[in-house]
Amino acid sequence: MVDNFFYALSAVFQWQNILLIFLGTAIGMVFGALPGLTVTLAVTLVLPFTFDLSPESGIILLTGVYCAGTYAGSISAILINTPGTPSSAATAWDGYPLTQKGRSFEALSIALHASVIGGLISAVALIFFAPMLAKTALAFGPPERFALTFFGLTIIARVSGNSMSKGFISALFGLLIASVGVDPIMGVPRFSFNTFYLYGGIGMIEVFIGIFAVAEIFNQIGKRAEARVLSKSGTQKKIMRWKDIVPHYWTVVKSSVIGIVIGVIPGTGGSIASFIAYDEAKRSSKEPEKFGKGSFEGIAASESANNGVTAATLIPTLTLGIPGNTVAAIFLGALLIHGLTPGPQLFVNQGGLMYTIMISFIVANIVMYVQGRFALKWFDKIIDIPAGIMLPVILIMCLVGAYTISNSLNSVIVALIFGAIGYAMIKFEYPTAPLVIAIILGSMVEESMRQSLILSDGSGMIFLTRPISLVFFMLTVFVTFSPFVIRQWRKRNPKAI
Amino acid sequence: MLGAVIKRSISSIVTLMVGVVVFLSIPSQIVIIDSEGLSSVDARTVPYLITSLIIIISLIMIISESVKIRKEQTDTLEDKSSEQTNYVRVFLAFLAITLWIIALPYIGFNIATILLVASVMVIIGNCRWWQIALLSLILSVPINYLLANVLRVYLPSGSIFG
Repeated sequence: MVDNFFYALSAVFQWQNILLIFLGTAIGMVFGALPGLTVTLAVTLVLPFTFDLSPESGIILLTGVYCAGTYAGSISAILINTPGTPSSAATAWDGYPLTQKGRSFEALSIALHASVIGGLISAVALIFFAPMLAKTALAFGPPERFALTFFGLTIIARVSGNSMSKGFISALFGLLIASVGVDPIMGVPRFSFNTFYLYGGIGMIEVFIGIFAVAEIFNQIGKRAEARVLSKSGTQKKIMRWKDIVPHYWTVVKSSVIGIVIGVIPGTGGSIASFIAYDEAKRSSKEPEKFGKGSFEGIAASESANNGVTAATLIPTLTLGIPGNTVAAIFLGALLIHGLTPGPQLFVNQGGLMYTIMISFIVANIVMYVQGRFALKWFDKIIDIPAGIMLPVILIMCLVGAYTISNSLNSVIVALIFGAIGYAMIKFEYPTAPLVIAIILGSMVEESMRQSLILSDGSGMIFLTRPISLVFFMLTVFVTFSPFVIRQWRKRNPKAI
Repeated sequence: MLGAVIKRSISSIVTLMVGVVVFLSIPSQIVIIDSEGLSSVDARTVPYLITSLIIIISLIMIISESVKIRKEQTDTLEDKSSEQTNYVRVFLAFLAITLWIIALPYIGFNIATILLVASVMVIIGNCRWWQIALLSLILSVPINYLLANVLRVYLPSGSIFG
């Protein structure tokens, strides 16, 4: 462990990697700050450009984008009442009223400090808990792996979006897409339509670019451009310092822990964490009446929670191979591209890389703080970049990024097709997270299921006679059916609510 | 009533149709080899399972939507879309990208990208001519140069230019 730790330190502090962290945080900040452009989009666009880098450098770059993108969602939430990322919605409730009072700099400073503390606490949690969980997961055989991935998919489909059925349909289509290519056990081609390109399966990155980036471009083009009104008059350029956050210290720590706990649960994410933390901060505040009217405590709670999710969501991703959210799914994809299979074995075989990821989260948050302090005065300029300029830039990055995957137009065609599918999913309110995560987990689900059945001579009882897999199946049944049971119970006992 | 069901369940109808088509195509798309009795599941089992579930859930969604409509006792339901979407713009953008893919091998990255960026900016609107000219140029030649010299990614230079 000590060797891995020192290896990671030397890897992260190479000057090239420090430069990559600076570059990643800058990209993340711009994307996170622009309304409509998400951190997922930023990470997706950067991913193809990590192919030529070493796994360490590639992951370090993605970490910078992820951390800064999550924080930067607060910038447009505070300045123009439009959250750059969904997880910053709660920040807008207090941030924008402060901007209207001419105190946007203080709001942005509080958001930056709270985000950095949340991110650092989350990184420490990753360092401590991930190796422990990985040790436990080493005991998992194919039946346990199948039960776990099945449970992960179910919970992601269950909690993503408003409709459980749509979540399941999305996950099933993801599994279907994952089944294209050569069968993992017998090696026969499936749904290849005698096309050489499809023998290798549908490329994950092309799908990510299509579903997240191209679909979002279509979505933004389809929306009518709204005139942004920014109240800049009388803005005080007062930047807060560490001592200014001391009164909110307990709120920040508590919200960061909420972010970590929520982040570990697959399928949840920054949005849920920030709303829960905001609600909890309001409940326990000495001045709850200020919430929604410009409370620094509210901003601190929301921002520390959504950044508390960032590293925590990688705990199940790296140890169990179950991505906590879409960005974690892309991280998983990045590891797979570099020939690394996420899961407990990764800690045994690639301990150095694992600690590099963990330490890069700490460094990325520090770099984010430095850049954030310098960039505060430029933020209102970033969010004023018109869509007519920004969208073509992102579109060309998508097309070029897709092309670089296979040096052919096949990948671009796949990205465009999935862009259209992703756009339809946005319009018909199908969540994209289950689809993407199912594409990543698809082969693992099928392989572990079939390996288990080979071990048991075809008997499905193998999943119910092993304690860990039984527990996961019981949890799956509980997660799937508990909403119906609760609904029926509420109908019959209206007074109990 | 039927019109309202179709309107509100259009996405479920599409997923149902895709599920059925893929289900029926499995025998022609996945060949079974003799040694596959290994685990009572073969290469077709999981695709059959997935498509069956897609069909069942889509049917459930269509039925539950029609039951909901019947409960509401109206067949003139309108979508409560709060946001206006300009689908013509989206279609034009899709078309522009498709044409870029088709034209790229012939006219090369630089010219195809200048045309694509210009057309997308016109489709989005609210852009001045000099912005269109400048951005088209910035996103074509310099990006092509950077990719070739830094990342060693060579984009098509166009067959009509030899």
